[in-house]
Amino acid sequence: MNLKMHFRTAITNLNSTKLRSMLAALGILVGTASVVAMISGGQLASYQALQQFKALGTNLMSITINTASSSDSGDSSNLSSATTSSPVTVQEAINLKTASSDITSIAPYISLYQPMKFQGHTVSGTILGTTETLQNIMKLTMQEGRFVSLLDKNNYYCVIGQKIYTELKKYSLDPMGQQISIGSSIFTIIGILKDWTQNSFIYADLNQSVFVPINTAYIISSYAQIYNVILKLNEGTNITTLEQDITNYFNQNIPGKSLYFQSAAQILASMTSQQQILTAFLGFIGGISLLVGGIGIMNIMLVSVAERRQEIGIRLAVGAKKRDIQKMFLIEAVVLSFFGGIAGVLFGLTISFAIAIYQGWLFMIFYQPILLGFVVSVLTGIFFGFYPAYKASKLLPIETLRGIE
Amino acid sequence: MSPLIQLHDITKTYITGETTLLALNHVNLTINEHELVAIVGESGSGKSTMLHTLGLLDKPTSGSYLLNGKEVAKLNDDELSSLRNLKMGFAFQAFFLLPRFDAIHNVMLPLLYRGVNLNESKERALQILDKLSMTKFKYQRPNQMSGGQQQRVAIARALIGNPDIVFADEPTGALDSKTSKEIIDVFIKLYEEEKKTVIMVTHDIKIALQCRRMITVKDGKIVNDVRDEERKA
Repeated sequence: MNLKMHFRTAITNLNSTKLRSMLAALGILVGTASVVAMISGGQLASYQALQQFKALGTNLMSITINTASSSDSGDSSNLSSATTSSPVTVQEAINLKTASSDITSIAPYISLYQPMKFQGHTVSGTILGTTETLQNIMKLTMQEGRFVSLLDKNNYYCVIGQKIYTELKKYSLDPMGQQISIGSSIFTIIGILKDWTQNSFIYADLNQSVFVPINTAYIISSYAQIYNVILKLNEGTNITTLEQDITNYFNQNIPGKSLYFQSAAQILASMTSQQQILTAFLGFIGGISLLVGGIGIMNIMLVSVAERRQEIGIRLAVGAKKRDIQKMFLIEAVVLSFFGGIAGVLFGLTISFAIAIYQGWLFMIFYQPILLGFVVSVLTGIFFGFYPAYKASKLLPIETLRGIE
Repeated sequence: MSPLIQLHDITKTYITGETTLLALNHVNLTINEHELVAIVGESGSGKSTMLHTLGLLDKPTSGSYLLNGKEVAKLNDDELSSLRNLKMGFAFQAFFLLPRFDAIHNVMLPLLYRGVNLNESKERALQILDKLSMTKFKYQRPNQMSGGQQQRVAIARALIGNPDIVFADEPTGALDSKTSKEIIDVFIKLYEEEKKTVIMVTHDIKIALQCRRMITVKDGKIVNDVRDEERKA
C-alpha cells in the first residue's frame, strides 16, 4: 500500500471518529499555539526594540554625570566636600572629544523644568539646553525653521517639539516666529521639529520639549548644570577601553564626579540575553504543553488500536504486513497532530497578533515560529504515535479475529 | 491431481493457565487442487482451528504443512501475509468487512496490499462486484447492507486476488435459509466454474452434503473423511 493510500485511509478513519480526533488534536493545538505565540510575540518585541536602534545606530553612548560622594562617613563634612566639585562647563563637555579618538561627536544637554506660557496659556514640557549636535545624533528632522546652535550663544531662541507645536496651534495658527515665555524670559520660536520616535537613550520626550541654546539655559535657571552627555562613536569601538579613557579624562580635568555609562551596544546585548531567557522559558512551557498533547495522542491511539483489533485482523488476513499496520497507525497519529499543528499555528499567530495590537507594535509574520510549530507538531505525532503503532503491528491475525466468532 | 495442501502430524495446543487444550491432535490431511471440502464437527471440536491453520491465520505448534509442496509451518508473519494475499481468500461468519469503508474499498483491499495501484484496483473490484451482482452496492458501507449482501462483498474481496484456495468459516452462520442457499451456490459455482479449491467449515449437515468431500473433526482429530463417490457407493 503506498503512502497516498495510507493518508487517505488515515483521513477516513479519523473522520469517522471526529469528536475524539478533535479532542486528541486539541492538546497539540494548545502546545503548538503556545510555542508559536510565544516565539512570535518575542520576536515582535525584539524587532520593536531593535527598530529604535536601527534608526539611531548602535554606535551611541550616554553618560550620566553625578557628583560623587567623597566618603562613606555620613557627617556634615561630606556635604561641603560634595559642593566643592565644580559643575561641568559646556567647553569641558565638548572637550571630552579629546579623551578618545573613537568619539565622533558630542551632545551635552541640560534639562530644566520652568513654567512656560504662550499667549497667556500655560504650556507644559521639558526645557532642554542643547547644541546642534543633538539634532544630528538623535536624527531630529525639522518641520520648519532651524535647530538651535552653539552659535546662538545666549540668544533667546527656541525650537519646539511636535506635541508642543500641536498645543500651541490651539492658540495661534502659526506659532513659528512667535514668542513664548520660559521662566521670566521671552523666547522666539525659530524652529519646529517633526514627530520623533521615542527611544530609551534620552530621558525626555523630545516631542514634548522646548529646545534652547545650551548657554541660554544657564540664564534661565541658576540650577542649570550638565548632567547628561550623549556621544556618537566610531563603529566597533571597544566600550570598556572608551569608558576607561573617559573616566581618566574626568579624573584629570573635572575630579569628584561619578559616571554612569550606557551604550546602545550594551542595551542591545542585555535585551538580547533577556530575550533569549524569555524565549527559552516560554519554549519550555510550550514544550510541556506539547508533551501533554503528545500523551493525549498516544492515549487516543492506544484506545484506537484496542478498539480496532478486528480491523487489524482483517487487514492481516487479506495480506497486510506488520509494517503496513504500523504505518497505518503511525500515519494516523501524524495526521492527527499535523491538523492540531495547523490549527495551533493559526491560533498562535492570532494570539501574537492580539499581543501586537494590545502593545501597539507593528505586526509581522515570522517564518521561524510557523515552521517550528509544524515541525514540532509532526515530530510529536511520530514520537507519541510510535508506541501504539508498534503495539498494533505485534498483533497476530488469529488473536484479533477470534472472540467474535 | 496434485496435492495442494499436505498436513503431516500437525498439532496445536493452547495453554490457558493450568490447563492445556489440544485443539489439533496429530492431524494428517491431504487436499488436492480443485476440491470442494466441508469440515464439520461440533463446536469446540477443533474445526475452526483446522481452518485457521490451513488458511495460515494460525501457526501449528508442531508438524509439517506443505503448500504446493513447500513447507510453510515455519515461515514468519510477513511471509505468511504474502502467501495469504497471493494464494488465499477468506469469507467469515461475521463477514469482517471494514465498517468505515464502502464496498468497493473493502473489495480492493487485498490488491492494495499487493501494491496494485488505486485505479486498477478499483476497476477490478468493480468487475468482481458485478460478477456477484453487487454493482448497485459499490458505494454502500457494510451497515447499509443486509447480511447476504455483506457476505457477497466479503466473497468478492476473497476472490479479487484470484486465489487458489477460498476458505469459508461458517459463511452462512449469520444468514437466513434462503440467503444461505444463495451464498452456498456462489461457493459451489466457484468450485464448478472457476475450478477453485473451496474449504468450508460448517455445522450445517445439509450444506456439508452439498460438498464433494466431508471431513468430520472431533476432539482435534479427523474421525471421518468421505468423498462423494464413496458416499454414493
